[in-house]
This record gives sequence, C-alpha cells and structure tokens, in this order.
Amino acid sequence: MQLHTLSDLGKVHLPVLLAAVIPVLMLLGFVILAAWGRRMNGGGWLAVGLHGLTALMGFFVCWSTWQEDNEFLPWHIWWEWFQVGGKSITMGIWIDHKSSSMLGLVTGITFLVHVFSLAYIAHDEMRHRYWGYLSLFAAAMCGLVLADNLLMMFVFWELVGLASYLLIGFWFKEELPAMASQKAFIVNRIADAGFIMALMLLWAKYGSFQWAGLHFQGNAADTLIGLGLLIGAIGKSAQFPFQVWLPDAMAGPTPVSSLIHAATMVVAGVYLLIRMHPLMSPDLHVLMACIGAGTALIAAISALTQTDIKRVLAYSTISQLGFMVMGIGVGPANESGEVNFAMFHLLTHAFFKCGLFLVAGYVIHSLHAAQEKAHAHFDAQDMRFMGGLRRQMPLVFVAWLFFAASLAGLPLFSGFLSKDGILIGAMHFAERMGGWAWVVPGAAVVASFLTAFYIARQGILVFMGRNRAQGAGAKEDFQHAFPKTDWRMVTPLLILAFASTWVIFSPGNPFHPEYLKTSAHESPLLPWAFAGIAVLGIAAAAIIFRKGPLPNRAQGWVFDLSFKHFFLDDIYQSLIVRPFLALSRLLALVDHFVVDGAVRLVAGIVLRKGHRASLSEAGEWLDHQVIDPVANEIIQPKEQHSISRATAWLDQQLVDRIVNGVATLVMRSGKRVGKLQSGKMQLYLLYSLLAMLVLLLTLMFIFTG
Amino acid sequence: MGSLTILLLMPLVALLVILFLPTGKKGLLAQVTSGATLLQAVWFFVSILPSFQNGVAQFMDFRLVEQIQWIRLDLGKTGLLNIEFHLAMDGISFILVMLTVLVMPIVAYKSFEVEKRPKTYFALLLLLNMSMLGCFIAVDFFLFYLFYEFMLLPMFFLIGLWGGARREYAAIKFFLYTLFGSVFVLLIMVGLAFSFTDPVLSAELGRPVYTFNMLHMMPDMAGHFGNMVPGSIFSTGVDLMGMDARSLAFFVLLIGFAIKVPAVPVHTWLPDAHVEASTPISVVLAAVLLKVGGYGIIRICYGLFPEAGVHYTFWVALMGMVSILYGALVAMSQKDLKAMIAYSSISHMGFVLLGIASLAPAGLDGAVLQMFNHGVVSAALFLIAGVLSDRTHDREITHYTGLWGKMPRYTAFVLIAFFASMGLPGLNGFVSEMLVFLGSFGGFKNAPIPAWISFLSVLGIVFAAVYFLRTFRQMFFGEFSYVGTGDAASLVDLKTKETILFVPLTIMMIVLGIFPGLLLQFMETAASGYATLLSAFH
Repeated sequence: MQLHTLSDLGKVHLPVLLAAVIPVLMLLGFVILAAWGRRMNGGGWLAVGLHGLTALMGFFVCWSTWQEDNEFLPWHIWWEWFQVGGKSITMGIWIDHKSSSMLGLVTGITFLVHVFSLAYIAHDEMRHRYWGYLSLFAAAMCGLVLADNLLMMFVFWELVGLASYLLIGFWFKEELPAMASQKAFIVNRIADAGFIMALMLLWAKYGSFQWAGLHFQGNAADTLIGLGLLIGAIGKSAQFPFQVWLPDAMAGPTPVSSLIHAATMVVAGVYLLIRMHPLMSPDLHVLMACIGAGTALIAAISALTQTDIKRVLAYSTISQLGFMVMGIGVGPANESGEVNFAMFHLLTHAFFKCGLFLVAGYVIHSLHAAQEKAHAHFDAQDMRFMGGLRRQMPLVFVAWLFFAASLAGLPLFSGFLSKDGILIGAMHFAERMGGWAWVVPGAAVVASFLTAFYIARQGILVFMGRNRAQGAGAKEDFQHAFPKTDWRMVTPLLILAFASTWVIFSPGNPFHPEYLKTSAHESPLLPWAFAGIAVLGIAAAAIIFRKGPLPNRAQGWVFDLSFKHFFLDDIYQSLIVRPFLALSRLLALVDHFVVDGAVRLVAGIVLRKGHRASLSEAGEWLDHQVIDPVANEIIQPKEQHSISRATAWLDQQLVDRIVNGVATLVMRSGKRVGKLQSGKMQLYLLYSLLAMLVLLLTLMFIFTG
Repeated sequence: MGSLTILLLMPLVALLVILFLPTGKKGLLAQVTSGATLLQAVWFFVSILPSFQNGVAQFMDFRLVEQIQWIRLDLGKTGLLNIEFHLAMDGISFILVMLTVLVMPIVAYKSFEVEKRPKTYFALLLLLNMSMLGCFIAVDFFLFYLFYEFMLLPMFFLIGLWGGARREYAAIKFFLYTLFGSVFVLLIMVGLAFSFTDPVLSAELGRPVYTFNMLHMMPDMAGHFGNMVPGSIFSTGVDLMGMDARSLAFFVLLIGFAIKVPAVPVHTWLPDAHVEASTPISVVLAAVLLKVGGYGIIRICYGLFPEAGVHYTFWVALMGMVSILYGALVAMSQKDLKAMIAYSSISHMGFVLLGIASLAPAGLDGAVLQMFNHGVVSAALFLIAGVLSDRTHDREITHYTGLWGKMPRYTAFVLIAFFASMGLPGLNGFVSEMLVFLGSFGGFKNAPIPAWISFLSVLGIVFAAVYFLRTFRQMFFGEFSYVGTGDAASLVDLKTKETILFVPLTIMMIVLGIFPGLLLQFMETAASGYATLLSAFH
C-alpha cells in the first residue's frame, strides 16, 4: 500500500505501524540522549526503558507475522521520498518472516545488551555518549532490516557503519580504538563502492530499487548487480578479502562487540544475500560458497592461537559468518527452495555469540574490578593470566557452557540444529558439482572441528585449572578480590543461555529443526557424525591444554600464520595501503611542481620579471582616495543635521565627489599603465576593459562593414 | 520595481550606508552588513519564495521576470544590437540564490572580527554579494557578463588585503586565472549576440535586432534554433580555424567556466586562494563563488550549445572524474587543514561536472543539488579550519592531537561536517552524490559517457573517507597535545558566538539529508529539463 498523506497511516495494519514506530522511537532516544544525556546522569535507565519497550513491540511484530501464512505476506507500505526526472524514489517497510525475525532479534538483543551495559559502563565518564550511540545504532539496524528497497537498505547500511565507527572509537583517547574505528569504516567503504555500483546498474536497468519490482533474468548485467551486492555484503559481514577490520574492531567496549560485531550489524551482509539470492546467478552462488568456506576455515585456524579472550571470539564470528555465506552459496539442504539454513544459523548464532561476548565482557569487567581492589596490573583480556574463574563466577561459567556447546554444535543446543543444515547443504552442493567442489564441505568440516577445539581451549584457559594471575604479578589475595555477582549482568546471560538451546527454535524435536521440514532422505547418521567431530575437537583441546596454555617454545611460523591471521594485514599494508599513500604524495608533488609549475612558467614568461605587485599599496590608495574622501565629507558636518542641508550636501558633495573619485581613479590608473613592472591591479582591469572594447569595435566593424 | 531588482539593490543600499558611516565604528559597519544580508535572506523567503510555493513543474519556467530596455546600438544596415536589463529566476537560479542568501549572513557575522580597514572590507563584501546574486538571475548574457566580471574586483581585494602571508601572490593568481577564463567568455558572448536575433523586436521594428537574451539563443525542445541568423559566426555548420565554430565555442566557454569550478587541470589557483584568504572569504569563495562556474556550464555551455555539449560530453565527464579522483588523492597528502579542504572542494565539485555530463535527469538534478550541498558543507568546513586559525594561527594537521577531549562541542560539528562531506546517508551530501552516480551510468552500450568513468568515480567517496577519517583521527582522537608555535592554552571549546555560525549549517545538512525533496521540488524539473533538451541532440 502506498501512503500519500500522513492520514493514510490510519489504514495501516497495526504490526506494520508498530514496526515503523520502532526506529523512530530509537532515533528519538538518540536525539534526547545526545542533547541531554550528560545531565541525566548518563541516561542509562532511559535507554534501557526505551529499548525494553521497543523489544516488546519487536516481539509483537515478529509474533504477528508467524501467525500468518507466508502467502499473506509481505505486509508492505511505502511512500515517496523524492522525485527525479519523473521517477519516484521511495522508502518503505517490508515485513515478511525474514524481516520480522530479524526485527525481533535486533530489538531483543539490543535490550539485553542494554541491561548488561548498565553495570558494565556504569563508571565511565562518557557513558551518556555510549547510550546515545547505541540507540543510533539500533535505529539504523531496524531501518536496515525493515527496508523495502535496496537504496533505503544502503542508507541504513551506512548509518550502522557510522554507529559502529563511533562505538569502536568510543575510548577515543587510546591509540588502538582510534586506528580500529578508522580501519573498520574505510574497509567497509571500499566494499560499499560495490554496493553503489550495483545500485547504479539497477537504476539504469530497472529504474527502481524495490524488492517487489526486481525480476532478474540472469543475464550479464544482472550478474554484475549481484556481484556488486556480494562485494558490499562481504564487506559488512567480514568475509575474505575484507575481514581484516573485524578483529581490530574488538577495541570497542565488549557489549558493543557483542551487539554490533557479533549478533546484528555483521550479519547485515548475510541478510542482504539471503534477500537477494533468488535473483543471483549460479556462478555467484559458487563464488559465495567458496568465499564462505574459505573464510570459515581461515578464521577458524586464526582463532586457535589467539591469547586475547575477545579476539578468539572475533575470529570465531568471522568463521561462523563464513558458514552462513557458504550456506547461501551452496543452496538449500531441503526441498522448500529457500536458504533457510543460513537464516536459521544467523538467528541461532546471534544468541550464543552474543552470549559468549557478554561472558568475555563479564570476565574482563570482573578482572578490572579485582585488579583495582588488589592493586594488580596485567592485561585483563589475556587468557594466559586467567584460569579457574569458574570458582569466582559459577553462574557465568554455566552460561558459557551453554553458549560454547551451541557454537561447537552439540546436540540439544541451537547451533547443532542450524550448523547441520548448512553442512548437509554443502554436501549436496558437492554432489551436484562433483570433483573439486568437495573442497567446500571439506573446509567446512575441518572448520567445525576447529571451532569445537578453539572454544574448548578458551573455556579451559579461562574457567578451568588454577588461576594464573600470580604469574602476572598479582598477590595471593587476588582471587578474593572479585566483585559479587551483579544481576544486571548475569540475568541477560541466563536468558541468552536459555535461547541457545533447542527450545525456542525447535521445541518439538531437539535433534531436527522441525519448521524447516527437512526431507527424510538424508542419512540420519550425518548429524551425529558432525556432533562426533565436535566432541573430538573438544577432547583434543582438553588433552593439549590440560596443563594450561602452551609454553612459548611451541611457536613457529605455523603458529604465526594462525596468530597473525595469515599475515593479511601485513600483505594489505605493503601491497595496498603504502603504495596508495605514496601515490597520493606523488600526486601532491606533481600538482605543485608540474601542474601549478606550468601555470607559473607561463605567467613568468608572459609577465616577464619584477612582478611584485605592491597590492597593499593599491589597497591603501583605494582606501584613502576613494572610500575615505567620500566618507570623510559625510562625517565632517557634524554640527548641522537638518534635512535641507543634507540634501543640498548630497547634491553638491556626494555626487561631485563620486564623479571626482572616478576621474581620479581613471587618471591614476592611466599614470600607472606606463609602469608595467609595478603590476598594479588597475592594470589588469584596464587590460580587460581594453580588450573588451577592442573586441566589440572589431566585431562591430566586421558586421557593419 | 520587481522582487529581484530589490534583492540586488539591498546590498547596494547597504554599501551606500556603509560609505556614510565613520571608519572607526567597525562594530556598526559589521552590524549594517549583517543586517543587510539578513534582510536579503528575509526578502528572499518573504517575497521570492511565494512565487515558487508549490514547486516548479516545468522546464524553462522563468518567474519574477523583469525585462527592461537598456542599451540599443544601431549598427546601420546590419540591424540593431539590443541589450536588456533582464532578470528572471527558474529552479536552478532559485536554488543558487537561496544558497547565496543563506551563506552571506554567516559570512557577515564571521566578519565581525575584521580589524583592518573595516569600511573597505564590508563595502567590497557587499559588492561581491550583489554581483554573485546578479550572476544567478541575469538572463541577458551581457548583464550576466557584467556581474561575472564584477565579482573579480572585490574578490581580488578581499583575498589580497585581508589574507595570510602570501596573500598578494594568491590574489594575483586568482585574478589572472579568472580573467583568462572570462576573456574567453567575452569572446563567445560577442559572437553569440551577432548570431541570434530577437524574434519579437525584429518583427516589430522590421529590422534584424541582434540580442544578448540567452533564452533566444537556446533551441526549442525539438532541437531547432528558431532565432539563429544563417551564416553568422555561431550558426550551425560554420567553420572557424578548421573546427566547427559552435564546438570551438563550447570548448572555449568550458575552459572559462571550468577555471571557476575549478576543474583539474585549471584548478591551481584555488588551493592558494583558500590557504591565503581569511576565513569568511574562504567561505564565500567555496560556498558561492565556485557555483558560478557550475551554473555557467549548465546554463551557457550546455544550454546554448546543446549539440556540442552532447557530442563532447565525454570530455566533460572525464574532467569530472579526474577532478574527483585527483582532488581526493592530493587532498590526502596535504599538511595544511585548509589546503586539504580546498582539494576536497575540487573533488566534490567534480561531481557537478560528472552529473552535468551524464545528460540524464538524475545526473543533472544531482549536479545542481550537489552545488547547494557543497555550498553548505564547504562553508562549515572552512569555518572549522577558521576556529583553529583564530586560536593558534596554525592549521598544520599533525600539530594537533586529541581535540575531542578538549573541545567536544567543536568535535560534534566537525564530525557532522566531515561525514556530510564524505556522503554519509542521512546528511545532505549523500543524496546529490548518489543522484550523480545514478545518472552517470547509462548502460554499457551507447551511453553518453562510458561505464568506466562512472564506476571509477565511485572511488571518490572511498578516498573521501580516507582523507577525512585520517585527518579526524590525527586531530581528534588520542590524548590532547599541541606541538605548534601557537598558544596551546587558547584551544578552548566553541564560544556561543562561534556555535551560532555552525548551528544553521548543521541543521541544513541534516534536514536536507532526510528531506531532499524540500530543495528538489524547486529545481527538479528545471535541472532535469536540460536532460530532455539535450536528448533532442543524442
């Protein structure tokens, strides 16, 4: 339904109206927090209340759509944004099962992260900014998932990028966040150039950006559109070759990493691909499968050796996003024809990965508090100085177990349900393509073994064994310095832990995702085989790390390959960044010495030498001879102010003076024509005037003659 | 007297008033100037805007027309030469006049701090104001040219007397460059006047009446030049120096206006002029003066020589693309904040050229909108550089670190202006740059400009992100420190006086980013109409 006036809103279906109100409310929250947050003691409770409300609204919208059958969807409203050359550019809201699920997810997780942040950020002086930026992010993210067209999606796509930039750089006084935020934005911008090119192609070919108006025919131009969108998507979703920004983005506050860089923003690319995949050509699907599988494997290998608790999770996120992209590329594992498994994994992953990050946040926060109390100083994110924390934070440990089990893909947990589908899809894909294509499921299986391994390693290093803080110089009493359980932080964890089980995704059958209606001809053993691989990974980690972190002598170039993420940063630095900056410096020199140099050369030849225009002298002259005389005459007769005197004066003095002034100007400039080297401005003026006259005369002569 | 004449008279009357005031009272001088510019803005919204109230639905819909017989030369048996005082406004003029009247009060307010020769300064500023407005609303080519030339004189002095250390060099460079350009414009103008006749007057007087009226020099929508004098110098099919005379004229005019835009490679006066000019003058220069170049290219190059424009549009597009990329790359290596902003101006004005060259409705709409948006954003950017100049007299980017902690309010404005300039959606720059991109790509075959030009231009917004974010990180992130020769203690946050300057610009950036239709309704048909006109020559 198209909305023409505001009153048309009255006719809109309630859930759609609510969906439209959600981002507006959040944006309002941002404005209020930005303007008055500081005065409201940060405004944390306002933010939490606001996002609690929007979460309820989001759930309602989500619930309403799942009451409807797919054929009655989407609910679609749109309105004109502006007109160009007789064509409308529109904005609108498109609600189907995908977008409403995303809306529920985004509003829900945003709310949980807000609650968690209440304690996490409580003592930060800048917290009013934090709350504001979070609201800005949430508004943009909701806009992105509700968009009914690609241009509108791009608008919010960039805005979530802005929010991400601001939040990564939240602690702007430190070196790392400054570099990381810049890197994240620029890398995303490069990928966004692909998105923009896709928009250009779309406009030229279809003259519209709406989902509803797109019917690709699979020719070359459509493939290019798909390619452009794919480039945009793998930038946002941190896939090869753009994934380098995400590990650095961990410099932001941990709840931010959890919300933006794990659960919501980074899946925007996957969401875009899910939206557009029916329109994409088979070649692009193969490309997606390869990019996804490759990234999943590279990132999983990189996660193996990280010592920073958050970086493990960052690489894990890249890896899991790789699974999703691969899931779209390999196509459906069932016969309904939709890439539901990628979408499904997106949803399950959002909960357990958000949980894992929040656990990391809890650990870091507690360690900081303990360090402060016990006057210890060591890197609170380094897992080598942790260990045995299950004693200090048992509930958090239990929650972590749920999340990790889900990530590893153990039965009864949500990750088991969704990852299976993707792996089976990859198997089918390889069967269809044959030969080399087995690399794709092969990489995926190896990556899922490694997933179980690295997450088990994290658990062992953080929660098991003895505390190693003493090795970093902490005193004996350090272990008793931990703060008490803070329920504002633990409650969201427990809710997320619950959401990481099978219960809300497939309540009837914990071993098979029922809503996906997978066809029966799969081997029933396959899922159990995948679970077995996960168990193997956990067992391997348990054996290797039973005595804590490996000693340093175990390191070598293989270790470096993993630890430094296949040296991608160094490669880009030397192959792209430095040459690019060198080109910029070179062009700056060219501009000054060659382009401008040529101009100066010509000017030098034409004007010869001694071109030292005493401009200030000329200005002085203008001042004293024209402006001041006129003015002074006016001011002098102070004593008399009668009107008659004024008019008489106007007649005689002003007019005369101006005429005299002009005459003087001409005379003076006439005198100066002779002095070429003096280079006065009158000279140029006169030249131009002269040129004009000569031209006019010549032309008149030509035409009249 | 019509609304437009009154608009032009306002700064002139203020100028007269200023001449009557004592030199010593510089506060009063500034107040009068500010008052006049404000009054001018009010007049625009009260008297001119209502004529455009419901938007403009048609191409070439000139309103508020004032046409007065001015100079009539009898050329003997050839006929008569007619010059008119002819003002009128269509959507494009409307937008650019609006930009001028919105920016001038800010410039005047910023000029309160001028110490040196205040009377001369404000007189010249008002003169400049008048001639810029005149350029946008003159329909008679002769009148346009008078205003066009007249901008030169005050600007020359404003840079040369109130600028920085190398101000004289910069002023003379500016002057020679633009004079070089305007001589070209003059040549073509005179030739054009003798190639077109006024149909109404000719019929009335029974003799050919040669005209400067630009509307008579344009073809009708079918591409037919009704008023062209056969065999005259700029009539179709005449050769001049081995080249089609009209194509030559198109190129010559293009160079003239490209200098003003400025486009690479005739841009080198701009960085010097900006670096040396004082803050308010930089603002006028970037926000308004450059727009005369873009306006001239649409109205005169493409409007009067549409067939040449269509034929050679590749070169204009190439110039646009090179300006976008080259300007951005050079901006990246600048050490002086103002020089960086100046090169970014070159890059952003490249979008105007690209949009015009696209010959597509979206491209032309984007080009005109980009002129307005760049005006708003560059005004803010130069004010931003001015804030630092005022405090430390030092604009070296690497001398500053961690200003965010020290000047949070300033940082907020910088952040918005930088992101607006980068083309972030939700702020005004995005819409116009996106429209230019959309218009510029017309397909892979038989498109007015090749696909690689439009695709490569997209990199411009990537580069913009690089130079703005690098600058922002250097200056605003980190712990506060200042290593230059200025006084570090003077780096305090914006005072109310300064905030007032940024608020209206920032509001415009946000509001026009969200509701671009507010402006597009006025200019959309006027700009995209050129695409229709040009399509007759494809």
